[in-house]
Amino acid sequence: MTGARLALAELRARPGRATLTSVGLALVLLLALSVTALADGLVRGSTGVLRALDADVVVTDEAANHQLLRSRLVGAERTALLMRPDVATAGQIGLVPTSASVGGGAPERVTAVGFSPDAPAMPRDTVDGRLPRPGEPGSAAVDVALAGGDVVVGDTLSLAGEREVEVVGLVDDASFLQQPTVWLGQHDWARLRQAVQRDADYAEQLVGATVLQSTEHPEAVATAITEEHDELAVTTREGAVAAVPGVSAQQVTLGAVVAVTLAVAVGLAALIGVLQVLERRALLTALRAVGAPARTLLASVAVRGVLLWVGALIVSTAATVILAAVAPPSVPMEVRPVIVASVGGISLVAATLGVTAAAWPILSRLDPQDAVAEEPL
Amino acid sequence: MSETGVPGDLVIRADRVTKVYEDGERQVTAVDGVDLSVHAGELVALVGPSGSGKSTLLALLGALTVPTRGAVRLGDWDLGTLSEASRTRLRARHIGFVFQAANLVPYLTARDNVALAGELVGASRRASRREAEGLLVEMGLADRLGHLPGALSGGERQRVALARALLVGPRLLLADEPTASLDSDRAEQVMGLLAGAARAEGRAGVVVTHDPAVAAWADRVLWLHDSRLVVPDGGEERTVGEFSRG
Amino acid sequence: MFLGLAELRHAPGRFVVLGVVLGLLVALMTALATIADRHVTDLTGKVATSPADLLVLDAAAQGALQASRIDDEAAAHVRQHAAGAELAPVGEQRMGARVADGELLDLSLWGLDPDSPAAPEVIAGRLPRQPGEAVLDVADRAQGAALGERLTLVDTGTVLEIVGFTAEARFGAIPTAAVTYDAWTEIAAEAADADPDEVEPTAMAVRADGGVEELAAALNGSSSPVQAAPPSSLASQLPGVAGVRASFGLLLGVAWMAVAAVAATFAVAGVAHRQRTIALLRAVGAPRRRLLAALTVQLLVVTAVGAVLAALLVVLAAWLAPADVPLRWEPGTWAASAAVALAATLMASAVAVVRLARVAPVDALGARR
Repeated sequence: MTGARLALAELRARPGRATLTSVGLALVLLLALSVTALADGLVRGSTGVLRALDADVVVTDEAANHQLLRSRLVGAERTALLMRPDVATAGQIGLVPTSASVGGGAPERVTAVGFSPDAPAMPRDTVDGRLPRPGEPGSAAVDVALAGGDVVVGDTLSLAGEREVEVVGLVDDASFLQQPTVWLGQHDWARLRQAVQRDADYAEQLVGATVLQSTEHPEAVATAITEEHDELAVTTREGAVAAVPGVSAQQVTLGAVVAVTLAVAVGLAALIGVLQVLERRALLTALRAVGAPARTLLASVAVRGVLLWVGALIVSTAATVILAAVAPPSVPMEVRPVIVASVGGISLVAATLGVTAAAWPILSRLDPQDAVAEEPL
Repeated sequence: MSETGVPGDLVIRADRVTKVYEDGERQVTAVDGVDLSVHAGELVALVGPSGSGKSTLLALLGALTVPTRGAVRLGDWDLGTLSEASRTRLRARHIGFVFQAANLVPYLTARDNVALAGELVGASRRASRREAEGLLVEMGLADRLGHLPGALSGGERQRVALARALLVGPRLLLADEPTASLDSDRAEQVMGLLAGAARAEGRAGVVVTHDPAVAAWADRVLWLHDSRLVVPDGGEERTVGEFSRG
Repeated sequence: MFLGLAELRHAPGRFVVLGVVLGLLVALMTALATIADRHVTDLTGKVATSPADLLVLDAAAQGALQASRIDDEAAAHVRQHAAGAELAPVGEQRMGARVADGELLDLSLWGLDPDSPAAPEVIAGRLPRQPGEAVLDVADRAQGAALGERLTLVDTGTVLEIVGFTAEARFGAIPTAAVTYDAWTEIAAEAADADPDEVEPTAMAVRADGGVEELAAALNGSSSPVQAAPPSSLASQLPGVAGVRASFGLLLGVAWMAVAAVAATFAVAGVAHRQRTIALLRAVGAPRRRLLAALTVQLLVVTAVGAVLAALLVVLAAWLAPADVPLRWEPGTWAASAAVALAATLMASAVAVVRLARVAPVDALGARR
């Protein structure tokens, strides 16, 4: 613990010196946290619809290739799949891009989601109110993100400037392709689709994807259905999330950016380790001369580095939260505790290794005799 | 004294110079009302116990700091009235320093350490290096020109420092414990060179030391105690023998 | 300059570490800027490269092509206000497709007449003129596309021959093909089980003889059923574009600040570490600006080395990156990132002035100030 005491004493005695280093660290961590939060926000903003459902298997037609927007399955597939022993329940959803305005305000882009009144096709939770009931035309549940969060139960919503519905409930974290969703009963949805896609084949029902709750492992069920039905593309909910346009590319791209940022953090930690030792060479040599073993000094350098890191992580987390709050709505940053914990944890381990690996070669070569040398060079 | 025994022109003069500094909430007088004159061709030793104010007085004479009261004049310049930039230029051109420690730039060779003095007064790098080589050869360091300070012995480093101090032909040569870390043979060699240089070319020298053997090279020995000159400049000075006993 | 370079030679270790850190940051900035540019091009290229003066969408679509249909009322509105201008229908639809016998792909299929204001430019081959012909974007060569190769639309079983390639003309960041408008209506109708007469264009392309702004204003008049805008302006309003620009801009800003802070940390720590040498140099008459110049030279050299390292890293990353990661080696973007990093470094050396000012020449003596 001598090393830790030395580090704490120095930080207390010369806090100013640590400040700039912490700023550098905090900015690199801010970068790592921002990229991770952005990647997370992008993926979550694109896939909320799928995550909101209580389904574990998603079925589209073969040509749609897991794309919800393109799938043209109708009720027949749902009925057929319900007969399977490995399927507990099944529901139908349909998606159509359109626009919505609240109370005569400016229209914004939304995705209208039609759902059948079956458990896997319905959002698990509502944050206020309820979902539209079967046989209740003219009602909708909407994503809280609509109208900048200003929508409330009882508002009137104009869809595509053609149909008006009343908001009866609010759902959270259910967006699709960065757009808020509006959840409609099947008849409202079918009429809206006819209004905005006049060339689409008329159907008084949902046209889209079938979603299932399976009784066995979802992957096994997806494989089994695929083998039996050439005309269907079946995947797990996670598979459908990955198939949402842009998601896998965003994950790979931003994942690589996060990895490079963490590499920068490790390099920076190594640099700080080297500078810490060089800056304190005389002091550290004197401590070696009075009997401090090199490993105690290494512990002191590592503890100092870790303390700086923790301080920088706190500052950068606060900065990321502020950044996410002040960023324009088009920047889908989400700062969740799991992101802070994972980026903080990984970077801390990497930084500790970086500091110690860089500082040890110099520390281990410090000669106590230099403390009484004629002229320190 | 000059080589003829006749005092030359006045090079530097301190008039009732006082230096007070802050030490936390306390004010400490490091140099208190010191009068001092050093003439061309003269080497003066400042001696005294640790904390007596020797190094502060040397810093005042070398324009490294300014007096709180009183005046230090080098030729026509009143050092206390000069801006920091002017004092920097004055040090580069007219004052040569030999310090006790960290005397050389660790990442420059012996030749480049000496040549640096020439470059600081605007001479070309090539000319400065040529002059530096000449001086180092004179100092017996012909085979050490390209060595970094870390590869030189203590005596060699001090000779390089002396060469650097002399390169631009300063009017005043100041040395702070120049032989503190040298054995007696090397100290003798360095002091021989330093004393010769301090008295040559109408120059004056001041050396701070604890060592009677170093003080013995001086024309005058001034004793500082508790921030004051015990025997004021111009009064009856102690001999080297008295100093070594005191 | 000599002082700065001499120290670099003497103790290269810590400069190498700094160079690596700065190199990684410059590489990151270059990659972020390139990815943002490429991503926007991939999302919007087909619209942005349209030779039309104006593109007209359904006003209710709010700039989203997928939600746009030009119905009879909207078409009449356009014809009425754009009398004299050349008009052409534009179709867009997402489909499943295979190039040759390759993997099933998501495809953005466009209907564009070759002799109309909507006709795309090809860089190889020619424009489609027959129902069974298509052009693809050159970026889709990675999927196996080649002149004369087959493109099969899975939804309808339609087989098209690839007769040409466009450049920088993808849409929605997926493979993008164009057929004649008539061929497109046939395919769209078949996919929707509808009559081709029922298929409405997604948008209209307009070529005016002049007065484009006035024409746009007339088309966009109050309670207009359409939204008309130049292709470049419409491209920047497409879904996701603002988000990509703002997000990556934000990240670039943070990366830039990180470069400045890392360089400043190094500069200030460097002054602290070399305090005795700096005091010595000040004592023997070196002015502060000379020492600052030495420090700046060191930082600039290290940043320049970092920038070269960054170039190598980006070239390597672009070579290794999977096809769906839009990372390319773009010297202009790299040069801009390196210049921004150099500017950050210069700012950082200015921070070191404060620290440098605290080192007094008298420190060389160990005497009190």
